[in-house]
Amino acid sequence: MDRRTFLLGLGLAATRPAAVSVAEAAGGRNRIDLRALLALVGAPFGETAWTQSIAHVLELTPGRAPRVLMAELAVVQCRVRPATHAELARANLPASPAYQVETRGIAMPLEARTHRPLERFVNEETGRVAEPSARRWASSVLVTDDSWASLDEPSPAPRPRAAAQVAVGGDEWYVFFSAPRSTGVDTAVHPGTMDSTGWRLRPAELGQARVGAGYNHVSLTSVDERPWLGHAPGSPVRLLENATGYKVFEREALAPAAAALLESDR
Amino acid sequence: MDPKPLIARSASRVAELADPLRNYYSDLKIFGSLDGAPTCVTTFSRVSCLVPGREPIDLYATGNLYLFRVDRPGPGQLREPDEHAFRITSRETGFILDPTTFEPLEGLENPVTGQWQETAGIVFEDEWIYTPSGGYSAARPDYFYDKRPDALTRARPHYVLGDDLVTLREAIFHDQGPHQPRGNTLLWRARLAEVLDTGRAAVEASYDWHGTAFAWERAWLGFPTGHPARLVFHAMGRKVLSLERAAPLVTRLVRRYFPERLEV
Repeated sequence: MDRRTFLLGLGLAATRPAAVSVAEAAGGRNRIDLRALLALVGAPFGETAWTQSIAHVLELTPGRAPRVLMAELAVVQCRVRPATHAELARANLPASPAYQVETRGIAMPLEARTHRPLERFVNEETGRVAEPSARRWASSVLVTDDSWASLDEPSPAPRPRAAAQVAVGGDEWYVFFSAPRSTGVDTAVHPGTMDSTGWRLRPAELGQARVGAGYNHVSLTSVDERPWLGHAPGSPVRLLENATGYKVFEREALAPAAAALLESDR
Repeated sequence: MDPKPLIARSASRVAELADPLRNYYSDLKIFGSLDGAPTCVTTFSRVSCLVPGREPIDLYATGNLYLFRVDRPGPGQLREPDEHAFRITSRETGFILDPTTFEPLEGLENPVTGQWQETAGIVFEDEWIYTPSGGYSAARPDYFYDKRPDALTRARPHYVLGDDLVTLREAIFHDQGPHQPRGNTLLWRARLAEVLDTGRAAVEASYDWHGTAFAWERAWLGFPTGHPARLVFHAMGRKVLSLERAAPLVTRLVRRYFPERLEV
């Protein structure tokens, strides 16, 4: 998990034009509106939610069988509240219902099998030993029904928000978002990369103060995003990252390792 | 604060499942039921297509029903005696769906050739012999799903995430060929306490399946062999202990088009 995959879970695709409407799921005209989505990724206004996940990362080198590279533990804290007039003005957003979503995340490479911290890494392509490092990020965005704006990377105009695709699986629903991969709001997309973020929810919880959520994502990323791997810039090697996890509403409910990771980021 | 020592200590909880047999039976409970009852998994996936030089395309979705039965191997199915061996019978029935509405698709336009490609049902049967040291196809006993010499120690890693147990399993196709690189990962997530409860024969679990392959390997899509377009699969679903709790959208389609496939 990183800033990109988490924000994508709100439909905040950096480069893709938005779909024009929220998808209607088969079997009924079910839709996930913005408030429901915010409840899914966050907590009641003023409270914090934490999403912890474990990822499995495969390295894909052209013409070769994949190899297991590492695991990655990630935790993201998320706070949501109504946006202020000053924020709306700063982001050039209309005064429709708008919300500020603040996230802070950290991800730590782990050994793929033991899940202990990855202390050293041998790049099989170059033979060089690399020292793994954690990824940290923070972001603040404003979101409306159909648009969004980054407070960290302001742009002249709001961006369209992508629609969620909702698959209705009885008493569990699945929300999908996919987009090209980029590392920032306006940064270039690496060829042959993409993100797909998913949330699972229980529809019976929609409308409640706290809505539980399962999180997962798959992404095909460039190794350029992890310079510590030691590949030459522009390498055709790609990483297939697969993550699963879930959200909690109390810090004490985090897995000990996730809590330690979060604590290290203070 | 350096999180590494605590993360390392946390990782030691995996040791609770490091015992090969406990680990093995945990896996069986997660994807099947030790009492021989059928279990099912319904999933929805979205399949994206990466065509060089273009943005990813949400090409299609799928809705799948997997039925599993875990029981004892039949006569002559074991390569060698193993009191812990089980036979896993699986039946997959799936449908190609619209990637936005999740309604069934009769066909789609190939994004490279522009040709209309008709969809077909996804129908697979399989029977595996599963043992603590690995497994093999019941029909082809020489076919191990993991040929690496250290497969036993590499198999079935687990991660304890709070109250949950996550099992990670990658299906890597090791044979060299024009299909490389191709791979996928299956992640199950279940309540740890339920998995370790010896009174339970089976547990419910969430199911996430992600992977990638060249698009030409899905022949029905009509890509020329060797074309560099790649598919990325993103599936989410749930394993439940009765068909009544499975996703109605999928079971309704199976009932309509393949009613004989609602049992395993």
